[in-house]
Amino acid sequence: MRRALALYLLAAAAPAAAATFLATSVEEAARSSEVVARARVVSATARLTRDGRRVVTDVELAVLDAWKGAPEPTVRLVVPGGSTGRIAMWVDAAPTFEPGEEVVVFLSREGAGWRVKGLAQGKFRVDGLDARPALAEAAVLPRALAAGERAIGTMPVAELERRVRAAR
Amino acid sequence: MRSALAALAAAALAAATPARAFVRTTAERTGKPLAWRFPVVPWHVNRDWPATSPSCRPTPAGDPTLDALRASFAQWEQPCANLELPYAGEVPELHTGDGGSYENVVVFRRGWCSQHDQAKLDPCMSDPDVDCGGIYGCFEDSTDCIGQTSCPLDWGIVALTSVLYDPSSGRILDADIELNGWDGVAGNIGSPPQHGWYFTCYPGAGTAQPQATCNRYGEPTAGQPDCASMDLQNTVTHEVGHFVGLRHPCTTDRNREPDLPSCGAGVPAGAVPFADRTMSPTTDVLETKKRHLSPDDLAGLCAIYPEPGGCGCGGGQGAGAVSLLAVLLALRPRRRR
Repeated sequence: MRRALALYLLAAAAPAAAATFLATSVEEAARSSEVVARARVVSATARLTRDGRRVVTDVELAVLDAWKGAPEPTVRLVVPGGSTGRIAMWVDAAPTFEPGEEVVVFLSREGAGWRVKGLAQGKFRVDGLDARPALAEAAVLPRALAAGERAIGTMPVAELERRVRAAR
Repeated sequence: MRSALAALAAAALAAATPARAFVRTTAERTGKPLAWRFPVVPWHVNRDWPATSPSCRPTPAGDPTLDALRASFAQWEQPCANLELPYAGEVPELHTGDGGSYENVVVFRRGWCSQHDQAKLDPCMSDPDVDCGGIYGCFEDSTDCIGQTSCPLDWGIVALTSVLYDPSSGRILDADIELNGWDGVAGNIGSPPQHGWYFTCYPGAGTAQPQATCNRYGEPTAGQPDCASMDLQNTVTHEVGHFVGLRHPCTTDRNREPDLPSCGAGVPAGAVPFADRTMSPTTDVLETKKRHLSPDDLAGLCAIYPEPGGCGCGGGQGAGAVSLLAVLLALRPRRRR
């Protein structure tokens, strides 16, 4: 019975999540990331992890412009959550990627691939002239930031780029 | 009495404003609002949390950590709602989401994996297929945080609630809460905190806790006479709101969430300010006001889980006046089950 229930849950379940984040500045995010890049999503393919317990999404990005670091022209990263069709897992505090979407990502190298820093705080979607962070359902804990620095939030892409490039 | 309540409820609905009292979490793609199917939802706690602030340590008189957790869940058991959240004991489970045993678990993480002596040497840290946090009881962060004293993006996460559900029905199947607690290493509490969030457990009203902020792990016994930090009950009460299917009522960035009002916006006369609601998306150290549900939070709970014969207002959004209706219903004598 337990096994049957577990199989049902695996087939039907899709997790949602809610997080509480400490406010972080764009400059802090840039300083703590190996790479910050503007890129276009080439593909996003969900799959089960090797142990079959979780769903992750393999994302391939075509780098348009590196604002920090020297990434390869194509960057591959893995994010929690996604939908394989039969099984779905939604981690609300995790960033999601759609093919064709233009993004700005804050990355660290993890083994042969890359990881988005700080879950949803490390991904912005480029929407016209604006960059919008993927902090969908996160609670924000305010915190004093260094003078002149700006907390992660929606802002013009040009300002985001200027702040990243100027971060020391 | 019933007719008087009905009259008051009608008056409240007549005075309804466009402001939303609460917002429900909905399933991606299908848009189904999330809710537990059955009215009794047990939860467990993993007590693999060796490092606690003095105010959270068990004493012969009681266990402040467990008391705080129980009080947090109890806030969401209200007379107007057909929902019970009984404590079901300790479990060894460290995994959350569908990596676990499908029990609803509150898990205390012991700091960040990058600061964990064993985890930071384990290849699981850089393998997205392996649940490193579930192995070592730490919160998984980036490998480039190893050896760092500050890692702002990764160490800004205080708590995380995961809800498993059936997307075709919105039925919640499992929910878990991760709390990124202290790893036991002494020292200054940075911002962001290098050794996890320092939860404190002062019972009673908000005025009962010290107003000084802890600046070192282990205090107040390590030099500071009396201090508080991230209130455990305040944090968990908010997360349990997500556990039962509620979303934040407002947004800190309307460009990102245009369907929600700005948290900085005013509310109609008589409505609870966004900042004073348990489900408000902002919080702070020393804050305790989220320990107790506002009428708007209560309205959401009672709309999702109406008592049989109750309002049944389980739609995705609620009008401001529903808050008053919920309060009126909450004032009824609780039916014996």
